[in-house]
Amino acid sequence: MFRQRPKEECRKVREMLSEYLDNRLSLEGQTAVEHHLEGCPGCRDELDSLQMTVRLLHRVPMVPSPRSFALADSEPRRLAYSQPWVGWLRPATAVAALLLVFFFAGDLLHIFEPAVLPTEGEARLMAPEEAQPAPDVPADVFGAEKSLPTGPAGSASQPRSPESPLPEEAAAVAWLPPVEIALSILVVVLGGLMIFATWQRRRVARARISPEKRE
Amino acid sequence: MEEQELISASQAGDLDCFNSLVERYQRQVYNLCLRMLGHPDLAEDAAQETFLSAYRAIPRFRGGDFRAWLLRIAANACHDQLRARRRYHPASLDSLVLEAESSLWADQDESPEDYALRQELGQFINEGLASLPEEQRSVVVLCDIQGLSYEEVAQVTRSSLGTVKSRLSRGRARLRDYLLEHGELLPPEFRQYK
Repeated sequence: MFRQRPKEECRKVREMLSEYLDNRLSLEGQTAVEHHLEGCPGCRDELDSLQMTVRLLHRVPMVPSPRSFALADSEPRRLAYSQPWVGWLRPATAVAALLLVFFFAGDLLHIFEPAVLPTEGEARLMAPEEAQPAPDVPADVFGAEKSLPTGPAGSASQPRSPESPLPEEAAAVAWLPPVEIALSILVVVLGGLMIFATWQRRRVARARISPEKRE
Repeated sequence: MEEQELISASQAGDLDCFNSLVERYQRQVYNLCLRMLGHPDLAEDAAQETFLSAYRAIPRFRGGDFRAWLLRIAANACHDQLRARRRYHPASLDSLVLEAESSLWADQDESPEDYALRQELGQFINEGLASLPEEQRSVVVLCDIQGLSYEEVAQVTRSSLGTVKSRLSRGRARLRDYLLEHGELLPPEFRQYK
């Protein structure tokens, strides 16, 4: 007479039977399953039926290939090997786009502008009637008769003071717009190339390349 | 040529070497596609797409199990087909394929009645596979029909070993239940479990 096995134990053992069939259980698991099977005819039937199913599947034959799937010597070669740069398009576009976002964000948040205020001596040196414009500073930025460039709020039409932007600060941000423009152009160009390459690949994939496939 | 030499030559652009690889693996690829899609025309399309995709991707192959890599491409091609068609017609297997299959199943001294029974049994197994969810079907086909190990199946399906074991266990049990519903066509030793 078989003693009644808890349903939970049977459920757990049945989940292990597939691995048990394939000898993929640990020694401990294998022992536990075999011990359970000794006293549980329901689980033994479960194991036997699974084993029969696997045996039937093992008898499913490998059907011969209906034809050769060898590729013809045509477009796939040109696309695969004449455009090795295509594989670099996506990461290059992503990097350019990230740099563009970084510089745009930095420009909006003014993180590229130096935070250090000039000393009184430095401010006197930079007075328009005395100082030569720095080589990398546009000549009209600090012209005496011209209005100051629009910068932080309130500074556009104020006379020069120690707190107003110095040539170094203006120089620090003057390079930003050209960089942003260049990155924008780069992203557009790379993105366009990527779209074109993808379209071309899909166009070939839709065509039937192998001559054996054609009627 | 050794397989690694064929792969290296294929990566360098040698189409003949790539086609040698195609000849080696096309039967396995076609059979996976046939068991996944259940129709020879769909299986042909998926197999052709597999080798086309493999040809484009082989420059990025970084070594390892080439068969698993190729079968993964095939599994993806089948998935794309299933997603596009959203249905599975195992009953649409045409008689030509069924005859080719059943001849492989037949024994030498088989009677016509046994031949017919075996033909129907093959059909039921195909229908049973069709009744499985796609992820269970792929694991059962790869493991029990194609003969891949758990680790290879995990590579092909890009899932963990635990997931493979779970899907295989459920797939086998579900297929067993389906076959038991048609117990009158099963071998006698199977029918007792109904």
